[in-house]
Formats: sequence, structure tokens, C-alpha cells
Amino acid sequence: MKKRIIGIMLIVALVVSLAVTVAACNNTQKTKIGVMLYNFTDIQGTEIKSYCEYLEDNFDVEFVYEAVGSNDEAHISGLQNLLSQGCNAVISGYDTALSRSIAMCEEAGAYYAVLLGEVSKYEYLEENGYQPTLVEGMDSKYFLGGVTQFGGNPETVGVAYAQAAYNAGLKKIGAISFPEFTFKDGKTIYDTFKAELAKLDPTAEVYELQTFMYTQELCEAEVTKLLTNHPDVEAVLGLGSGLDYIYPALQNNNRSDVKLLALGYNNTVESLLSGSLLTAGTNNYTQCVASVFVRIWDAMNGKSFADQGEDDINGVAGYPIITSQAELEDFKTYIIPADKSNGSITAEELKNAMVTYNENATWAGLNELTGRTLEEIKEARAA
Amino acid sequence: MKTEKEKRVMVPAEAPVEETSETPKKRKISGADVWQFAKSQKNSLIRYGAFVLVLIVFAITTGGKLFSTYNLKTIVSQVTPLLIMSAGLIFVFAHGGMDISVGAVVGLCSLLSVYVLNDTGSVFLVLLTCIAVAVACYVINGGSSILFKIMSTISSLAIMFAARGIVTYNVSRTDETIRFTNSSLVKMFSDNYGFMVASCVIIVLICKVLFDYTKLGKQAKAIGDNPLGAAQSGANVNLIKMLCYIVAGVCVGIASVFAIARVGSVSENMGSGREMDVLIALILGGMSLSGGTKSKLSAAVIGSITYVLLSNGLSISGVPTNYISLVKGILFLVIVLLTLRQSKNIRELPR
Amino acid sequence: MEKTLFIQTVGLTKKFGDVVAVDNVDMDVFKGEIRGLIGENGSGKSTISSMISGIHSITSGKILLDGKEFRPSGALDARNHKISMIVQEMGTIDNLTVAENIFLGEEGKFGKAGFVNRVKMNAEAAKALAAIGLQRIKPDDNINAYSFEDRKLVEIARAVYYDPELFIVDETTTALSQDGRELIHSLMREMRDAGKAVLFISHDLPELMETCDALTVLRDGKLIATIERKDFDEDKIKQTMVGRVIEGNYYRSDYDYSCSDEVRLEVKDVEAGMLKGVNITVHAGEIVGIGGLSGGGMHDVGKVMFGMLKLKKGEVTAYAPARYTFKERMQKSLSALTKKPFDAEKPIVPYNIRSIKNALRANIGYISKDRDKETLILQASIKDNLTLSALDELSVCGIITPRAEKKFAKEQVDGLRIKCSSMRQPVKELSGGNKQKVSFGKWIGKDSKILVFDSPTRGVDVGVKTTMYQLLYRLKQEGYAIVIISEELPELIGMSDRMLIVKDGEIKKEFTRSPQLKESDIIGYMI
Repeated sequence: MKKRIIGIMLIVALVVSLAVTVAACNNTQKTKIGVMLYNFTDIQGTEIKSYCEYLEDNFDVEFVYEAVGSNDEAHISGLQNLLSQGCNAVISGYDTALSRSIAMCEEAGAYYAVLLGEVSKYEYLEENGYQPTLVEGMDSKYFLGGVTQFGGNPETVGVAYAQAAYNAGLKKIGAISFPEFTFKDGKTIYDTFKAELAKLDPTAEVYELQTFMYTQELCEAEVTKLLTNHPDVEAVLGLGSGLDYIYPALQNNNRSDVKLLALGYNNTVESLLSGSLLTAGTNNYTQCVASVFVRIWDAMNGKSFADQGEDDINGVAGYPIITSQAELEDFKTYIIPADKSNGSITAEELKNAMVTYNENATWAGLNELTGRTLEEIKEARAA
Repeated sequence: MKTEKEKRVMVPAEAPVEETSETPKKRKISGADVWQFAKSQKNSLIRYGAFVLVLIVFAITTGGKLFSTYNLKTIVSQVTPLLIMSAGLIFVFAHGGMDISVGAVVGLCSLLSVYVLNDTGSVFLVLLTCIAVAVACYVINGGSSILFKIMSTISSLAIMFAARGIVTYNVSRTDETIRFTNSSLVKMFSDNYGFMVASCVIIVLICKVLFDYTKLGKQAKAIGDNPLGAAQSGANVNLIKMLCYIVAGVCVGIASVFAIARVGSVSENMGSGREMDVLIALILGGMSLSGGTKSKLSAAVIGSITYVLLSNGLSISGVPTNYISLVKGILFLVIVLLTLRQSKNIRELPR
Repeated sequence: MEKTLFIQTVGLTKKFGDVVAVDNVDMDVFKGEIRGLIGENGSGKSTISSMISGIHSITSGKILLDGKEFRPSGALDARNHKISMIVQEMGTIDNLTVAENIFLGEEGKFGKAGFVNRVKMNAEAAKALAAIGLQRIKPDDNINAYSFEDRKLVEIARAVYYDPELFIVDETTTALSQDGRELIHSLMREMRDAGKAVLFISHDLPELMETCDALTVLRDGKLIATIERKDFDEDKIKQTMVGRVIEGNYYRSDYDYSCSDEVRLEVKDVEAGMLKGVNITVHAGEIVGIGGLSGGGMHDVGKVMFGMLKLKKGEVTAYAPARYTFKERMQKSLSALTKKPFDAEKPIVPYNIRSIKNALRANIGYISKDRDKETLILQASIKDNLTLSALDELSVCGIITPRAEKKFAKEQVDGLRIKCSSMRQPVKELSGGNKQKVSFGKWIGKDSKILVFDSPTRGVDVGVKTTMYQLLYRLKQEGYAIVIISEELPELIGMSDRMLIVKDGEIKKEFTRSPQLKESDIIGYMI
């Protein structure tokens, strides 16, 4: 009996809460853009959402968010749900099930763009003699391309990290990343890091690149392997989310003496930077969103860049690096401020980069805007 | 023939102790009767009630968008693979087995589908491959659990790792995405909603017959309740279990074709999470995961639809993403509390 | 000798569903005595002791312990009140060590920060075993390594370790050798001399008369008499035990034990389970009763007949109509579809019974002693239970229509007068008698011509019993071959054409149906 009463109460609570939530969000005829990410709770998710909210304040647009699972089917279901809500465009974090996603958007008359990562219009298959073959659906006018990370130049990260390692006088360095097929830039950064460090300090040794698949246990296994094979290792180049995976794994192995050169950023950076953390860095999420939003907004207003090549479908986003407390302060002020009008790209700058508002706007100009480094942003804000 | 029939019924000639109280006299239907009826049909009422409730709530909260043509198509395409899987796997759960490999098996089937379609261009071969692979997986799964008497959870765990391993390895071998080079070939499975509905109906009907009107289903359910009793009543327990796994395999194979056609490409995570979807769908449908004679195929149907409606409805009614899990959780808890309670009255028997 | 009252039961009653197992018993047990409980199977001895030791709940009445009301919530609660019981069945748990078995539920005593101090526990267990002179049993051995008898002794060590004020021994001695018996007798005497009370339940009258200070005789759940040691007289006690008045035509009234010459079931020189070289032949139209003590192997006879025990030697053969060929099955399906009669007379052929599958092929029906666990699917409906064993007969081209099922089930429900609200009612909600009727219906409906019933009237009330006896008699007349295995002698005497008494895995004696046959004639061969 008690359980039944609880059950009924829960149902009532549910209905009421649903009704309240729905009453709160009135339907308007604004442009609707859907955003799909694995979650909206980590730094990446909250920053993207925060910039979208800034855009809502400055454009006649409404964003809706859908958290999707990491498998293909969940991705498609999430996309369907967004299209069912009447989205005019969908921004996906990832290139999961890309061809089908584009086909579905085309059917629904909605634009589609990839936020975190570049996409390639062609593939080079063995059976076609490695000739470029158009990937199905990628030539659709509803597909607006992706965003190249690391400012289009992952090598710069490798060089910068090598400099940091050299400055700290590190001699024995391990490297751990995600598998190459999921994170190609990781290998590039590792290679340049190794080459650059060899130039700076020929006595320094960088061990072979180890990889793991996205779980804490597998990461821990790799870290343990590294520590066993090279007990005297001084630092780890943590390409596979250094802060989220590798730092805890080092802690669990009681090796807080091992320094960390990490890709990634979260709110522990501040405290760790005075300790074992030498570098951190992350995508400039504002720039990612801005690059995609400009393309969507122009496309919806029937505009396009005159100078954008047919196959030139990826925008650019920068990758700010933090190696000192001073840089961290700048990072907080200009990359992830609570008030985005003080951030990387203001609404004014954005409008200026759109053909809709500025007939002289160019694709090169947009990429320059969204590829700015921390220094350049700082200058722009000071002006 | 007539005498034969009479022999079968043994009426004790003159029972001295009359058991008169057994014949209930006809009464007028009173409120109490209705309440009694409702109580006896409690589980069905709750199952359909939950479904109707979800439907009504979302119809209101989405302002009718739930029933827009586009969204109906969406629902159909989301329900189809889940429903077919659940309808097959209910055979495994009914006999007291447990399966958590379905996601990985779907992944493996999807991977091979892509290879087969890209090489041969034959959808029929794709379907055949998927069924063959899924059946093989489930035969190994069921076979090892029966042969070595290990828990079916464990054997399905092994299959899960193996199948997922093959998928991950193949995906990692190449930089290019593994995808259909010509996805229009499988359009029937991805865009033909009539075909989807028809497939569901046909498969559910076949499963319904197998589950409720054949020896296979009846004995499987009896095994779920009491393997010893079922064996003493003539069930070949191992054979029946094996057949259940094969039915599950066929259904999962067919479902994989719909699943892969819907997404068009295979990543290392293809299908993962399906095992939970199926479990949740069956529970939402009022199925007791320990199996037994109370298992109903309608659990798979109602459960799958309710489950898809839940995610779809919550999403398009604009519930913030951060709350969706919470709301889903509450609803799930409510339904489970109401349907899966066990009665405490276990009678004592003399020693 | 001044006697102090220790345990007193007032109007103690226990019902299992509709069946009254213990009926309004007022019994006084004193300190410093060994009290024997005697009575036939099902007379309520075990049930009384089970209530005192907290295994069964009390339906009505009360137990007074030292004058205070005592309502044990479970066996552990009873143990805390210094009441220990050794049960008839296996009371130790497989795959634990001897020490773990002795201190089951008391591991906390050796606990230290959540861990069990094994060294200490083993030492304590060794002490407990030594207290009853069992040094040869090692506390850290797996209990599986010991024989049934040794395991019983471990139970005794456990019971004694807790230094009980009341020590209950329930038919334990049947499983023990002479040494074991002597050990337990001396233990009981020690306890008595220490001013404690002992309740001793046994079938072995001489043993009881030798050990006990007083004997309480029970019959049909009622306390008949308590006899002091000075008045012990074997014949008188036996009379008191079996002094049953058989009312009306409770059993069959004829004494015609003739039957057909056709053999239906043949057990030849079988060695399996507890059985050693058993030979039984069952004819068409014959009821064979198997009697004995429950630990003596009588239940294994039924298991062997249904192919449930692995035969070490000998063979079991059933004679039944040959199975339909595939073609005939098809024809049968076809005729069912076209509603034409189908009859194919099949010759009787022998079936070698080595597994349940063989037994079912030969169309043998079996009701286990543990009906609720093995024969019925309690959670399932009456209809599902009735049809489960007859699915092949009901199916038409592999499909079993709800209509055919309903018809089949209705015939049995009506024919056997199964009391239920509907055929969809779960069997677990039925009374014992009606459950048993469902078990009967399963096999009768399937047209099994060879029926093996183990304890068919266990937990069944008188009314249903009568119905069943009549049904069995009717089946006999129809030419069925029936084997009844029962612990209740009157039932066997009343119903069977031939009676076989099984003791220590062997058939000790065969009786033919006769009006002169009395329980007292038989009991001697059982104990």
C-alpha cells in the first residue's frame, strides 16, 4: 500500500514538473539550432552552451541541446529528436554516422555542421586505387563542413610543448594518447614534439607512443606499463586527455613526482600548475561555435563566401596553451569568461565576418578571426 | 474416439465428501467485483497504463508535435530495431537466461553488413550474413552456458567482449570510416517506414505464435519458473534453451540490418548500450527478468514503444538535457515499483 | 523424584493450509527427563518439535518455557533460548568447512574488524568435536569429504556446543550406525543427568523404550497418551499408536488382488542411489505399494522408475504402446484439422528407462514427494500446469491453440473437481489437496498408463484423500499400472494389491492384499 502511494505521488510529481517545464519554454518562431554533444556538464559542454546563450542574446536564434550517447544509433536518435523539434540547423560535436546524418538533415531541410574536428569530403580507398572518392552526401548544400582544431596546425602544439619540456630540463619522457584512428592529431603532435626536443636537447629521450581506448581502467593499465618499463621516467606527454585520465592514473600509482605535459583543461589546472603540471591546453570552444554559426547564419540567409573553395569545407579554431600562472589568468579572462562579450569573439566581430551583415566578409577573414591565438585576442580586447 | 476421451476424464464415482462451496453463485456485478477484477489484472493495467500515460503526457507537453508526420517516422525508425531485438531476447529472459551481448552482436553484424554490401551489393546477402552471425553468436553463448553450466550472464559477457573486440580491431585498422559506399541499396531498411512497420508486425506475430502457442515457448516459460518441474513434465531443458537462443539470434540479426541501415556507418561503439535498452524496454513492459510463465510477449512491444516514447517525448517537449536522465529514472522506478513487486505470502509446507 | 516443569504446550495447533498437522496438543516436558515422541508418519511428531525449535510458525495455542510464553521467531531465536534440534534431513551445508558449519550464523563471535579469525574458530570447533569424542573429524576439512553419518555427528556436535537446555533429536538415529547411536544415547543420558530436557523422536520402538523416561504417543496430530517408563509395554504402545478407527469406505473395500498378466513396468536387479539389488514387477491393473521409513530408500524406487537416478547395475523396463511415426503424427495433425477421428493401434513395446526422457517416451507419469518443487510450476496457472506435460498430444502441426488447451484443462478441472476461482489461477494459491489434484490431472489427461506416485497424499486433507483413493481404484480398474510410495501404512494397506517394504535399500518383505493384514504385522519389518 505504501509503495502504491509513493508510486502515485511520483507520477503526480512528474506530471506537474513536466507541465511546469513546458510552460516555461514557450514556443516562438525563432530560428532553432540543435546542438549535440556527449554531455553538457564538463568544461567543453558548459563553455559551448554558454557561448550559444550569448548568441541567443545577440541574434534572433534559439538553441536546443541534446546529450547523445557515443554510439552511432544514439547519435541518429538524438538527431531525429532534434529535427522533430523543428530545428533549422544542427551542430554535432562529432562526425559520427556522418553520411546518414546529412541525408536526414537534407530530407528535413536543415543544415548540418560538425563542431569538434575536421571532415574530409573525399576518401582514399584501396579498391579505388587511392583516388579521391566523394563520400556519400558530403556534397549536399545542407552540409556546412567541420572545424579544424589546433588552429589548423597541430605541429605548433608539439613545438610549444617541446619548448616547455626543454625549459624544465626533462630528459626521460613517456607519451600516452588515444588510438590514432580516433585522434590523428595526437600522433602528429607526438612526432613534432619528439623531433623538436631532439633539436633542443639531443640527450633527452622520448619513449614510444602508447595508446588506450577512452576508459579509466585502460588508461591506468597504460600508465602502469609505462612506469614498469621505465621506472625512472620524469614526465608524461599526456595527449589522451592528460588531466581527466592520466593525472588520476599517476596518482593511483603513487607517482606524483612524474611531471605532466597535458592536453586538456579543467578546473584543477590552477592548483596543479604550481605542482607537477607543466602545460595544459584546450580548444577555443568559442571559436569553434563561432566558425560554425557564421556559416549556418549565412546559409540560412542565402549568402555564401565568394572566396570559399568547393572542397574547402573546414573552418579553423585555435588552441590556447597554458604554461604559467600568468597565461592561466589570461586564459580565464579571454577564453572562458562568464561574460562572453569580453571573450574571444564578440557579437560585433561575428557580424562583421558574416556576408549577411557585411558584403565584404571573406572565408579567409572568418578563419583568421576564429584562429586567433590568446595573444591576438588579448590585443583585440585591449583595443 | 469418444470412449478414448471419456477414459481421460476420471470422475470419482461417489465422492462422500462433497465440495459444494466451490461453485460460486451468480451475483450482480458490484463495485467490489470491479475492484477485484482490477486487482487481478493489476499488472496488465499498469503496463498499458504507463504506456497510455506516457503517450498522453507527451502529446500535451509537445503541443501535438509528438504526432507530427516527421516524428511518427522518427518513432517508427527508433522502435523497429529495439522491438525486434526485444521480441527475440524475451525468449532468453523467459527461460531464466540473461543476455548482455546484444549490443556487441549488433556491432559485429553491422560491421560485416558493411563489408558484404560494399563487396556484393546484395541486400539479401546482408540479411543472411547478419542472421547467420547473430545466430552463431547466440549458439556459442547458449551452448557454452549449457555445456559448461556457467551463468548465462558470464557466457554472454564473453561473447560481448569477443564481438566488441572484433569490431574495434577492424575499425582501428583504417583511417577511413567504415560505411556503406552506396547506402541507397539499403533504403528499404532505412527510409521505408511502411516496410519497417510491416516487418515489426510480422516478426511480432511469429514470435507471439512461438511464445504462446508452441511447445517451445510454453516449455521455455516453465523452465524459467522451475527447471526441475519442467524437466519432469517432459521438457528437454537444454534443447529448449538452445532453441530460445537461436530465435533470439535470428531476431537480433534482422534487427541489426535495420540498425546499420539507419546509421550507415560503423564506429567502434556501434550498438553499444543496446543491451541496456532491451533490458529497460522489457522491464517497462512489465517483464520480470527472472522469466517464467508470467512473461508476455506484449512486454517487448509495449516496453519498446514506451521506452522510445520516453526519450523522444522528453527530448522534443524541451525538457533540459540535464533533467532528462532524472525524469527517466523517476518514471522507470515508478513502473518497476508497481509491476515487479513480489508477494510476500509464501506458504509453509510440512517437512 | 521431584520434577520441575520445563516446557508446556497449551492447545498447540498447526495447520498447513486446510490440513491440521497438530491438533490442540497439551504436552508437559520436565527437566531431567528424556521424553520420547512416537507415532506414525504424519502423526505430528516432527511438526511439534519444529514449532518448539522455531522452524515452523505456530497457528494457534502457545508454548510456555519455564512458565513464560515463548514464540520463537526462527531457529536462531530458539537456539538463543537454549533449544537445539537435530533434524531428520541433512542439516549441514555443502562446500563449507566443518568449523564453518558448526558456527554458521555465529561467525561474528570470531570476528575482528569484519574478518573471521579462522584459527580461533577452528580451535573452538575442535573443542566442540572433542566434547563428543569426535577427534577424527578435522575442523578445517570441507564438509563434503565426510559421509552422511559423520555429517550428522557434526550436527550433533554443533547442537551440544551451545549447551542446550532442551535437546531435540528428530529421527536422527535411523541414519546412524550402532556406534553413532550409542554416542547419541549416552549424550542424551548425560544431559538428562545434568537436569536438562531431551525430546527424542524415533520410529524404533525398542530404542525408545530403552532410552526414554516417558513416551508420548501421537496419532493424527492429537496427543493420545503419555506413558511412564514403569508402564512400558511394547504391545500396548503399538496398539495405542495404530489404534485408528477407519471410517466408512475410506479406502477400497474389495480384497481382490488379481490383475492382468501383462507386465507394464519391470525393475530388475537395480542398484542405484540407496537401492541394492531391487526387483519389482508391476502389472496392468495392479496397485503396488512401496512402504518403509523415509530414510530407507523407498523414495529412490520411484526415482529409478522415472529415470531420475543413474543405474549402477540392472535395468528398468517399461512396456507401453510404440510411439507414433512421423507420418502418423502428420496424419494425426491432419485429422485434427479436418475434425476426423484418428486412431492408430500401436503394439506394446519395451522401453529401457535410463532417463526422464525415456520415461516420458514410455508415457510414465510421476509425482514427486516434493510436489511443489519438482512436479508443479507453482507460479504458473492451473491450465499451464495441466497442459505442460501434454503439449505434444495437444499440438496440431506444432501449434497449440488456446482452445485445445482450455478444453483439455477444463476436462481435468471438472473431472477432478479442482477447487479454483479460474483456470488462470496460479497453482501456488491452491490448497495442498487441490495442488495434488493438478499433479494427478497432468498425467491422467496425458493418458499415461503407468503412474508412479510418491507420497500422493502428503499435505492433503481427508476429503481430498478420499477422492484420490477412489480415483486410484478407478484407474486400477481401467488397467493402469500404479505404484504408490507412501510413508503412511494404513494408506498402503488400504489401497495396494501388493505391498513391498523397503529397508536399507532392499525389499525386506512382500505382502499381498488381505483383510487380515494389520499395521502391527508390518511395522516389525520396517524398523
